[in-house]
Amino acid sequence: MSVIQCVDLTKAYGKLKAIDHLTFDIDENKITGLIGRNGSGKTTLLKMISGYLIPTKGELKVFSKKPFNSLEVSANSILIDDTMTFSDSLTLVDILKEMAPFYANWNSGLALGLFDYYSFNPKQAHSNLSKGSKSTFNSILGIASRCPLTIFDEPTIGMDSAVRKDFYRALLKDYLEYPRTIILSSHMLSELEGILEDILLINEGTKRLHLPALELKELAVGLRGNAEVVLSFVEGKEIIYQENFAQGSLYVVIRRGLIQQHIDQIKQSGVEVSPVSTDDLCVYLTSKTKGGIDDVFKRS
Amino acid sequence: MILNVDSMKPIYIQIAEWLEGEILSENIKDEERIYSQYQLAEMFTINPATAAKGLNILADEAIVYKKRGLGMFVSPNAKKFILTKRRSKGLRQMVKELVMEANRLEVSQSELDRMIQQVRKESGQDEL
Amino acid sequence: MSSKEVSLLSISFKQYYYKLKAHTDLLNRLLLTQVFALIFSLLGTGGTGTSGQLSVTFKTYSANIVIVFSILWIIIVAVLLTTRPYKQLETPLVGNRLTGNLSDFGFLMTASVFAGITSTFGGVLLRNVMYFISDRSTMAVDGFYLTFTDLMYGMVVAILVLVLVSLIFYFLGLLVQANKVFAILIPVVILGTLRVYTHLGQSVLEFYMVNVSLPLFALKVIITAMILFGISMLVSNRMEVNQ
Repeated sequence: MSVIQCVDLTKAYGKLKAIDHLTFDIDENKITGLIGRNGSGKTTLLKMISGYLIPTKGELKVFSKKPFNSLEVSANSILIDDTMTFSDSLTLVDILKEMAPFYANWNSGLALGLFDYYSFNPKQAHSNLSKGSKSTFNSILGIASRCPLTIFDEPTIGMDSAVRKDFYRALLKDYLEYPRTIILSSHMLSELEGILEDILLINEGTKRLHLPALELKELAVGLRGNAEVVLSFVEGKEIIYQENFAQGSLYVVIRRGLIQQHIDQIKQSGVEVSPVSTDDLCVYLTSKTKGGIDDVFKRS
Repeated sequence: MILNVDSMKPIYIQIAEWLEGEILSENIKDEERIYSQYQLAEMFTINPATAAKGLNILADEAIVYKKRGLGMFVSPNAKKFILTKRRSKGLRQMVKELVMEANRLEVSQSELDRMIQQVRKESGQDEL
Repeated sequence: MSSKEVSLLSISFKQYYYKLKAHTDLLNRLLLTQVFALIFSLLGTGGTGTSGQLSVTFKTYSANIVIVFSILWIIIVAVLLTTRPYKQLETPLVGNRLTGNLSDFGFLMTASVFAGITSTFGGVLLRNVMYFISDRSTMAVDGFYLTFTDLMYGMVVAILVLVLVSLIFYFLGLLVQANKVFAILIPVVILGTLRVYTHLGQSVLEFYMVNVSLPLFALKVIITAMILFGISMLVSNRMEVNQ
């Protein structure tokens, strides 16, 4: 069953298209990673899904309803990002208490447990928290709310590595105990990858690909070796990325499927075959040129 | 076991190999219930779907089998099977890589054979 | 999973209770304003009148200033509620534009009642203070000893005035949020209209302020309120929540 259905979605601000003919489905109770560069439209998309922005064109359904201004979508979803604000008249503990009546599945035991674990000062106000503490506190809200659709937009900003690990683990553990549909948008794909089931990669407002994380990891290979030899194997095939190195050495990233049958041959010819990390692959798939930043230096 | 997330090996394969290791060392015996995808997910902080794929690899090779409503169990003689598999496949892979390297270094068939025999003699002598 | 029924009314109430707690700082500021106003009134406004050989210096004390300050306060609150920082407080909660408006109205009603009560008793306080600190022989009073009915009457009027004013300015605030053009347009239109149709301003004020009876005034306020409710909800229903 699809929790989110998106068909040909477009969001335009004047001439600028933040989302441009985007189509995808998100299935129930999966953890999906929303990956993309800055400005690729991730936040705009998440805000539309959460009902804060109105689509310009196309169809967007959450729980089979249009999310904008929908009470039902709002009651069953939560968007955690760094722009959440609370009145200074409320202390952190107050906030935890005040959120509970709105969310039917709210687990206050978990909320307070996490609150104590992170050693928050109960009497503090939300706006006085540091960036990292704010992210940590907001993450508690996201996990404890147990909303059928829980969305995190860059939840780990400012968190140090130990806190991030705790967040992923807490999220996974509660997901195992109480399954729900989770969307995480983040830059730190390599850290996040382990707990993701699917990855939705968007670029310039449109879908680049939407695959299970496992498939994405094995999607491409890197070939490194003598330029002529490498090129002979990839001739006529679509290259995802290439980079020249010293002394005629060439590194090429290509879909595994395109050269799988020749792989032994390639290895024998002295070309190094290596896997491509999902992080790197997403970068290559969304770059504007087929080369990298080194091209800037080559020009000069 | 700590998962190596940066490794060349996908996580689900690491899981499958770890489970094989557990069977080999008899931490999980034949006909015993093996970890579920949810238990593995919690143990290694990974998505249960990833853990499930690891289990499925073992199921495809009949190392484990599914009992309806009860979960996955270790097949009888699984340990023996794994041993044989690792011997034949693992060793075979090593031989393949040896031959490829030899070809790269332009070492002839007979030269390679001689090398193997010599190594065997030396290691055989050590054992004496 | 998502088949739970969500009632508009219950969510609006939940948001209302939340706002009561979240906006306690605004209510505190009201009390501060009223104390300030009371101190002001204790200073009194002075004047001198001359008639022939007789010159009289007098000071007038009036509690009206408390009400005026309270009205100013509620205007500020009403407009503030429509601004981005305050609307953003709703985002972590469950709700939509409608529940946001309803809970805002609820808060403004409550604030009006609160301010009406406190300013009325502020007037009482003023009288008490004056009673004790001044030389009563030199006082000429108009309505010093109030009956309870008078007091209640005054309070209800104050509350109704505050409700009316707050809703008007909430609506204006919404218009400005919908389109910044209104920030200039509204003052221009109002001042312009008043210049051309000078009697219009007077007529409007008379319509509201000159009443035969309290119930009539109450009715006028309620109907105006409902109209403003309605238009406000229409205006904000298509507004996106932007950061």
